[in-house]
Amino acid sequence: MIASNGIRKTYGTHVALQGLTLQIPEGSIFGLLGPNGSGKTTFIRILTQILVPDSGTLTLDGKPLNPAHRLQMGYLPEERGLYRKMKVQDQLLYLLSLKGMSAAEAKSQSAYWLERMGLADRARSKVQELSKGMQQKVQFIATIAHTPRLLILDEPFSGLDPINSQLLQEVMEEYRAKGRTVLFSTHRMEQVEELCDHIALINKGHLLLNDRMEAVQDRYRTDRYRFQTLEVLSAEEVAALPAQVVSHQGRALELRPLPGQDARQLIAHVNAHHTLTACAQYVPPLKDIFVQLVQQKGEPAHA
Amino acid sequence: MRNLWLVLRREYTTRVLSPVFWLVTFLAPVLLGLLMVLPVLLASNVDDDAWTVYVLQDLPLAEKLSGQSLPGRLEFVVLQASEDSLRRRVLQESHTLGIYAMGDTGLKLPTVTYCTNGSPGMNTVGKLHEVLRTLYREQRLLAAGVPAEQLAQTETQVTFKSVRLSEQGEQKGSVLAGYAIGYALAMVNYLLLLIYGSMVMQSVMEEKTSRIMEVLATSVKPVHLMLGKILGIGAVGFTQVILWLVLGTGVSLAVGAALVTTGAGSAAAPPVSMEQVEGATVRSEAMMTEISGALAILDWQLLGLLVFFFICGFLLYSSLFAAVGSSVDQMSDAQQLTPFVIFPIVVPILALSAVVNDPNGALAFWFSMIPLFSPIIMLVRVAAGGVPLWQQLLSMAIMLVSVWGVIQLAARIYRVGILTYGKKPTIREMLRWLRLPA
Repeated sequence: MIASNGIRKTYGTHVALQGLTLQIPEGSIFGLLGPNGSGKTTFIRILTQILVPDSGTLTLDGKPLNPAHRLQMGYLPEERGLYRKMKVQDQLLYLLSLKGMSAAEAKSQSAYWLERMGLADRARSKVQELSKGMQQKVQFIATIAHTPRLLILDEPFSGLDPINSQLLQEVMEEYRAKGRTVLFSTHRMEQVEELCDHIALINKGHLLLNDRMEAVQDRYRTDRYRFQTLEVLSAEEVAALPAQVVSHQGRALELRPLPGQDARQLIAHVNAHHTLTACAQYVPPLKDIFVQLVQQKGEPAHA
Repeated sequence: MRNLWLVLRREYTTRVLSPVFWLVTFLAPVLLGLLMVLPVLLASNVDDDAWTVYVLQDLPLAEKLSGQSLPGRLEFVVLQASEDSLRRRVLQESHTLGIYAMGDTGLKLPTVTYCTNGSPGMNTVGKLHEVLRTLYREQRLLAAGVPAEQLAQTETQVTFKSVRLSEQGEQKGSVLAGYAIGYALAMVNYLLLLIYGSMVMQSVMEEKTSRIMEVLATSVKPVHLMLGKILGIGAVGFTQVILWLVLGTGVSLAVGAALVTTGAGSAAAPPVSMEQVEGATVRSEAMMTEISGALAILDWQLLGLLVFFFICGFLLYSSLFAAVGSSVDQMSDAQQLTPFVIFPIVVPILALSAVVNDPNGALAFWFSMIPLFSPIIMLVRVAAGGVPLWQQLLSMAIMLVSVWGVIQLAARIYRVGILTYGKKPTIREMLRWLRLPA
C-alpha cells in the first residue's frame, strides 16, 4: 500500500533519516520500531505530509503522496493535543468534519466510538476535565472514527493502563480484520511480537530490518530448544542426554542437538526418558534481535 | 474551502459562545463610562464645605468683597480688627481664610495676602482668586472711566464657525471637528488592530502549545487554517465592535443625561448672575455645533473608509501576528518578536500630531501610502478633509495588494512555524522559511 523509497530528512546538521526504503502492505498491522530519536516520528510526519523529505519518494497505491491522500489517513501524534476548553463531542465533530465527514455521520460515528471507549457519559465534558488516559482515548476516536484506510499511531500505548491497552489492541486487530492497515510506532518490543504482521526496525535513521514478523523470527531462530520436565533432573541425567547442554536449572533445560542430529531425535529422546511437559524452540525476543542488529551497526539493511 | 469555513466557524462560535466574550463586551463600555464619569462624580463630591473669608476693613476692596459672597461656598465677612486679631481668629476657627494685605487697585501688579489654618482645596482657592481678579479688573475699568453698566458687556464669548471649501462646494463639519474625529478614529483603529491582532497570535500559540496543531495540519491546509482563524477572529471583532457601538451609544446617552443633571445641580447652588447663565448657554450651544459638526463629518464615505481600513489593517496585522505566533511556542519568546509587529502600529500614532498639523504635507502623504501606516493615517487625513480622491484610491489599492502579499508571506512562515517546536527561530531562519517550497 505504502512504499517509501530513499527517504532522507535532515534538520540542520542532524540527519534524522538517511534514505529509508520500506513497504507497508495493505491489511496488516505494521510495527515501526526503534529507540528514542531513531527517526520513527520523522518518518510518520513525512507520511502524514506534515514534513517534506529532503529527497526520496513516497507512494500510496503506486501514486506519489498528495494532500488528497490525507483524508484516507488517521493520525494519532505522539504529542497528544486537543482543545482543552472544548467539549468532547464538539471537538470530535469538528475534527471529524475537517476529515470530510458530514455532520450527521460525524455525530453517529463519534457516538458509537464514545460508547465503545467507555466515554459515552463524558461527551458533554470539557476536555480539560478528563483524565489523561481519557483524553488519549478521545483523541484516538478522532483518529479512527472517519474509518481511514491507513491508521497511523505514534506511540499509541504510552500512557494507557493495561485495560485500555487491551482495548486499543482489540480495535487494531479488528481494523486489520476489515482489511485496513495500521501503522504504529513503539519502542516497546514485547507488544510488537503479539500484534504485528510486519515490522521495520530503524536506528539513527537507518533501516535495520523490514519484513514479515514470522520471517524475522525464522531468520533469527536458533538451534536451541527449551524443555520442561516434570522431574527435577540431576546433573548426571542431564549429562547423559545426547545433546549439547546450554543451560540447566531445576526443571528447565536448554539443549542444542549434537551435530548430525536433528531436533526431532532430541525431542524423542528426552520424551522417552523423562516426563516432558513443555518443549519449544528458542526464538530470541525482538529486543535481543534489535540489540544484536544495533551492535552490528554499519551493516546494510535487509529489505 | 469547506475546511476554511469549518475553521472560521469554530473560531467564531467558541469565542462568541464563551461567557468571557460577553463579560468583556459588557464590562468594557461600563468601565469606559465609569472612567469618564468617575472624575466628575468624585470632583463634585468633595470641597463642598463653606469657607469664610475675613477681610480687614481698611483694605481697598473690602466693601466690594462683602457683596461677592457665594452662599455655601465662600462667605466674605468684613472685620474691623487688627491684623493680629484676624490672624488669631483664623487660627481658632476652622474653615476660615483671612485677607490681611491687599495692593491698591491703581497698582499694575497688586498683591493680595491671605492666611488660613486649614487646606481650602483647589476649587475654593481658585474661586477666591477669580473673585479677586475680577474685582481688580472692574475697579480699574471704572477708574478708566468705563460706565458701570457697560462692564457687564465686556464679558465676551466668541463662537467660531469654520467652513471647509472644496471643488464640490462647502463641506459638512468644521475644521477642528475634522481633526478631532480623525484622531478618535485613528485611536479606535489602533486599539482594535492591537486587540484583535494579538488575539490571533494567542490563538495560534494556543493550538501550537496544546499540540493539536499536528492533528489539524494533517486535515487542513495551513493557509486555510491561518485564514480561517484570522477571519473567524475578525468576525468576532466585528461582532464585538457592533455590540460596543450599540452599548456605547446607550451608555454615552445615559452618561450625557447624568452629566447634564449634575451640571445643572451644581450650577443651581450658587446664585448665578444672568450673564453667567447666558454665557453657559452660549458655551453649550457652541459645543453642540461642534459635536454636530463632528458628526456631520462622519458621513458614509468616511465610515466606508473606516470599515475598509479596519478590515484591511486587521488582515494585514493579524497575518503578521499569526506568523509570529506560529514561530514560537512560549509566551516569553513571543514577547521578543511582537515588537516587530507592534512597532509599525505605533509609528503612525506617534506621527499623528505631525499629520494633524499638516494633513496634506509630505509626511502625511507618504505615511498614508505605506500600507502598514495607512489604516491609521489615511483615516486622519480624510477626516481632516482635502485629500484628493486619487490619493484615497491609490492608498486603498496599495493596501489591497499588500494584504494579499502579506497573507502569502505569513502563510509561508506559518506553514513551517506551526510544526517547529523547541528553539525560538531567528529572524534569519524565518526569512529562510519564506523561500521553502510549498
